[in-house]
Amino acid sequence: MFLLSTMTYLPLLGALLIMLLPKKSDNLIRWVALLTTLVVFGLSIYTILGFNQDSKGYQYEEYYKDWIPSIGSGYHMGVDGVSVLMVLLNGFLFVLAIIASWKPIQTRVREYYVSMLLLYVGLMGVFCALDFFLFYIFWELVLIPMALLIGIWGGPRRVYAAVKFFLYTLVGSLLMLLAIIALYFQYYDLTKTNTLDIPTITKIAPQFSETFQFWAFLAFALAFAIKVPLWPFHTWLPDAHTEAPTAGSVILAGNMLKMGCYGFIRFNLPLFPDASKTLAPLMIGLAVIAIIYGALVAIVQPDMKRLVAYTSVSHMGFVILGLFSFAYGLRGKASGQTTDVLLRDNSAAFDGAVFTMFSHGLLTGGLFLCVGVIYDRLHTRDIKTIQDTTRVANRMPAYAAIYMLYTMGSLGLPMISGFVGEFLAMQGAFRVNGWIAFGTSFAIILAAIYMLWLYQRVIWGKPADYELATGHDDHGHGHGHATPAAQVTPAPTQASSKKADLKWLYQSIVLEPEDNDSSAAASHGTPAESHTDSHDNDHGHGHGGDKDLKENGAKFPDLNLGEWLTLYPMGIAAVVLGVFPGLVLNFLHKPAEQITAIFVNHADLAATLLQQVGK
Amino acid sequence: MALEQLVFLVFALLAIVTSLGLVIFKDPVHCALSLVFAFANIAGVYILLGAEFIAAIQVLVYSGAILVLFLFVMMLLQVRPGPSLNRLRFFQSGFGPVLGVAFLVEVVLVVLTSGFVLNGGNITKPNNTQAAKMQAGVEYSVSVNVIQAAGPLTIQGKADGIQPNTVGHTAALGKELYSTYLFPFEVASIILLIAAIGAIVIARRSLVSDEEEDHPKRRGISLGSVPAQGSLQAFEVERQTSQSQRRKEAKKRTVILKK
Amino acid sequence: MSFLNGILSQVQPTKLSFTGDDFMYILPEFIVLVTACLLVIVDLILPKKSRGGLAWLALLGYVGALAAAGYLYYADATISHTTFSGMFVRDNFTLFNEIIFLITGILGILISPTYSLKRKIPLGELYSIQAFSVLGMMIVGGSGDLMAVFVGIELSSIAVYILTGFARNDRGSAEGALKYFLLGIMATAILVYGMAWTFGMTGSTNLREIGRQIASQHSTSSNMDSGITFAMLLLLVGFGFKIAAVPFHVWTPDAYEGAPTPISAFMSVGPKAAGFAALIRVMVEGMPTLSNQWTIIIAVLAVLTMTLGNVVAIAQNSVKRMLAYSSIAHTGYIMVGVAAYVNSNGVDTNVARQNDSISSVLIYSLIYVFMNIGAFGILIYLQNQQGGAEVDDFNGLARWSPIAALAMALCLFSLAGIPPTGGFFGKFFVFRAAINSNLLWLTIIGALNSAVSAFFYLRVVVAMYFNPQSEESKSKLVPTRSFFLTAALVIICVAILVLGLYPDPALKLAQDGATPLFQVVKAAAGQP
Repeated sequence: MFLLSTMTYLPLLGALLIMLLPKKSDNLIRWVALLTTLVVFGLSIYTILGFNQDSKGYQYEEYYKDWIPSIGSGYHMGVDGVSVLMVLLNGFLFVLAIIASWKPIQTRVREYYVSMLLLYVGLMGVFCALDFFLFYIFWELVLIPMALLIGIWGGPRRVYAAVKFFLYTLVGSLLMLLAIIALYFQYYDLTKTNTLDIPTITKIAPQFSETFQFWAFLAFALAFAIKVPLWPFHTWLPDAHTEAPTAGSVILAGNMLKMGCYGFIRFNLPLFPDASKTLAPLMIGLAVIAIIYGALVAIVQPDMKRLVAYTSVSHMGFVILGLFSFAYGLRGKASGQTTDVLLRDNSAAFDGAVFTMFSHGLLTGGLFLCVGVIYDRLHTRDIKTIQDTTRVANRMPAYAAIYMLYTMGSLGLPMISGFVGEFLAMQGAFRVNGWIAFGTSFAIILAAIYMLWLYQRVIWGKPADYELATGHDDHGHGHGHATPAAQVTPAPTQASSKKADLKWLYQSIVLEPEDNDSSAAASHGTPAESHTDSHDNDHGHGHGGDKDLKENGAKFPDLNLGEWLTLYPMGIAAVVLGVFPGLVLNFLHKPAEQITAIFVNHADLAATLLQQVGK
Repeated sequence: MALEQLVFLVFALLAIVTSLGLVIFKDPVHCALSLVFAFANIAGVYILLGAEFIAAIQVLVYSGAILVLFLFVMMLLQVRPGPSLNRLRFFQSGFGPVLGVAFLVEVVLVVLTSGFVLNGGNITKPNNTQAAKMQAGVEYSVSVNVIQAAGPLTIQGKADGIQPNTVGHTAALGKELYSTYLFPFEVASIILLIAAIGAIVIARRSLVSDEEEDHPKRRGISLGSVPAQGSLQAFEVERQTSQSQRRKEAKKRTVILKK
Repeated sequence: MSFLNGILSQVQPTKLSFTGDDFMYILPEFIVLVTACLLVIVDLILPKKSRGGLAWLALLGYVGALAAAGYLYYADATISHTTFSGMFVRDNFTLFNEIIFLITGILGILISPTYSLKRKIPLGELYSIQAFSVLGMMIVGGSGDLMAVFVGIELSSIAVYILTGFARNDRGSAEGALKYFLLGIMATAILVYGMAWTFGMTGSTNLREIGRQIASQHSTSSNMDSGITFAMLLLLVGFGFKIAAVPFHVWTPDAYEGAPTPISAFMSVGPKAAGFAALIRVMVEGMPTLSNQWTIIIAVLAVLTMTLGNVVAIAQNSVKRMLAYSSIAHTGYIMVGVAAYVNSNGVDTNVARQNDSISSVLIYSLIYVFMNIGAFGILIYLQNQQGGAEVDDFNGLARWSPIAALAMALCLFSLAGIPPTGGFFGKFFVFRAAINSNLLWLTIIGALNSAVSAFFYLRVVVAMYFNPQSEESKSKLVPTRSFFLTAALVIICVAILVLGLYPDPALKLAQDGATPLFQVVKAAAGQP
């Protein structure tokens, strides 16, 4: 009965246990953390298996009314189709995050895992809480450990990034708090009872006045848009992602960004149906800008992690696009259409949005892990430096393979989960306006550009020793005819030719002719050692014999056990979801139906009111 | 009535001017003297209000006891800078008589115009006995305490002053003080107690810290190590300590004044 | 003799202003008074070595007073009893304020010893003057008369002036004490002037009577006498000084920075809460009819106070000074709660609003006691260990003293209003009251301000957790242990978390505490 609370507070217990452990027992601490997350993951699987997809409303509810009766706040936990998915995602990603930080985190281990587990508490709570007060506590609880994770174990500009992250999110949350209080009093005015219970307030939501809905929607939306992050509130994200430790980035991208989307689904749509309809064009507009802008900016990023961070902006744009296409579609024709018809017509957008949330957690989390793998070996994320150091594909084939999977998933290749969400979201957008779908479809092309180009530069970096010294020029024309090298490894040719193509494409888009050497020299933030290496290698490639292997072979061991354990399960999950999207989509019918019902009821209400006025 | 207001104006203005003098004069003796003068004027205002007991206390305790004590201390400690008196001699000789005359005029006015005083002009009349005044005073004092007055309020006073038949009286005041106003009265005595404790602590502790100078490794916000004897820093420290001591004393003085 | 008898027969037989029963109602105050006097005496008798025991005596006194207050509450939870001819009121508002002040006293005692011993501050006098100050505050909280308000405020203020100047060989202490004293007596003068005007306008110093008078004048003539407005303004200015509201705050930073740190902690909390108690007593009981005027003034002052406090705090490098400005900012938040007061005029929904407003002030004050003394407590800990009070001195605290860093972080997050701490609940409740009274603009400013405040609180957290400890501070490190300080910090951390996660009992008590005021207001307006 206390399943959700158990899942939420187990990590807290784990954190307390870790605090009590002796200081030097780093490995023990790691095992305790792993065990905690594994247990919670197991529980989350149990939860989702026992979840009844066909029942409306919340399940696994826990409700104690007299938590703070003076303000009408009770302890209310529960999950519906959307949040149960998020709970599962939480459980899954945290296990991986703990494994992923096994080796890289060697300083202040105890504090690290305590922060991580506290973060877990907050994230679990956010998705389970069904009381505004409780929700807000968890919502803010997430901030502190995340800021610590970024600020202590992050990159060189970590403190700046941590503070920026903290303050940015706090401002939004505070306005949301005010909106929550305002909502509370609106409810009081209507019913003369005090409550902060989310389902109870949602029931009465259609009766809120339109101006109130408008402002409250904006206040909520600001908080969530910062968290999502939606353009133009996204600027904290690249910094936070870039500076965070790998596992922190995974959690940030995989779970924390979902908090914003979840907020839109749980609060903005059902609480403010009128405002959602009227403001849907605005939100769609912002989402489209975010999609295109994120993609364009991602192309020019010199830092791997920053690039992936911007792809997040782009992908999360799809979520918002889907959600508000859904809301826009539900405008219907006043009371004419029934819930079923509306749902049939519009549910694709909603499904797409939530599916994107889920798959983005897997794919982008995976991409961040991949970045982490390289970073652990080379201690830089600068694409140019990596490209000039070695050819990763030769050194780490297993890594190259799984990285390929994530790349393809992220750019929306069918059969991998990324495709389903984006497709459904765009389908929803098409119902709003064909041009929107048309515009956003360019984002897919852009995604192909930045992802593949990134892949090519990182994985197919400096040509291997056995490649002929003919250089790239030949390959530029060399479509179709195989070089001797291509017989040994066909991939390099392909990649090189792709590189030339992409370079041209890139120049034509960005209108900024770029020279390999100059940009290598100008690339900043690289360790001096690898910098000089890259220069030497630039001139010397093709002549060195086994030089590269000698220099870099030891530096680039292929995936170790921990990395296998993190990268492959996630990739498999992404593929499974890509092939069987129904696994996730089945959970979404009832939530979508409920939201639709609220919209329709509201429209009915308005219509009857109109009729009465007319009479 | 006009004369009464005139008298009040004279008292009030003189009180303000002499209070300003207290702040402006450089010589502490002058300050103390002008404070005496201010107190005397305020006592005059009290009399105008019919509170002759408070007026008497004002003169006896503040002007008479505390300030004389101040003057003694100042003169004994020779706080005043020496030559200022000489420079001001002309001013003194010119201004002193003027003030003296003004004060005399005040006193005479009070005596002569007592018929205008708020008590109904009955101070000099034969039926103005102690008992009659007391009754009036009691009515006044008791009726102030509106909580206890069961009937309609006896004071309609807004800004236009106090009832004409009200006269303060010592016995009634004492009775009120120890019954109705017992609580604030006792708290006030506690205030005096802590003021005394505070003064003692601050005064005593300077001795303690002088005795225990032998702590080279003292830490604190602004407590550095003790500078070498005879160095510039030592001189500076000494100067500052004496300054702050002087400030303390000034503070203590004002604390006592508040009593 | 016959003459005297004649006089006595003419004098109405005035009964004693209290009976033995009435005396029960000031039992907590009396216990504190006895404790304070005992402390002075015992300090003289005890040999120097065993003076550490004085802290136990003081604690015993405070706890005894708390127990007495609790006993009175449980004996009759709806008590509202005036005694000493209306000077002292024993009701739940008094009770809640007593709790605040006594807790302040207890924590103030606990954080003092180590610091004071290091700086040669005489402990016996420190404890006793502090106890007198607490007594003054308790009198303010229970005052039913302007005179009691005045003597209570004076008692607590004069005690704090003395405490501020306690670190005598510190120039800053002397300077702070002097500034505080001079501005304080000026404020007192203004306050007394305002009281005199009030008396002149209404003919009474009793708060309920004042309320009744103003209400009847209000009902008879539509345009209010401007004299009473003037009196109200003077009173507001006077109280503004006591609670350190902008623009009457100028003494605050110097006094807080100069005073010995335990005293700063004490005076940033106690006198402020007492000022609010007096403000509420006088304004809500005495001048509810004028609430339209004073709420708007307080709202404007609240905006100034919050904004200035927070903005200036950003620029501070000394944590002590930063906390001084942050305490100004918190005054602003509490004022938001006061500004949310709406006079009921017999409308029942407004009674709920009134209650929200006053109980939010009470609960915020209580929470503020814990979090602010907690932050100062860690500062004291740090000063005990290595002497400094700058932000840089916090560098690497999480490394060499993780528990202290955690406690500090908790207090700072609470001050910033981030859940799950008590500070969040306090802010939530204050903003809730304000939104309910249609002061959305004020709450938006408040929310933005608390975002700004997060910035400078975060600076300390960043220093503690992200920055390495400097060699210099390592060399200065002198490990000091203090049982009392640890106990205080444990109490504070537990209290902050409990108030954040399960605030209901405290909230109930605060709501009970706010109720008697409105019964008075109702009675003044002639309603049953």
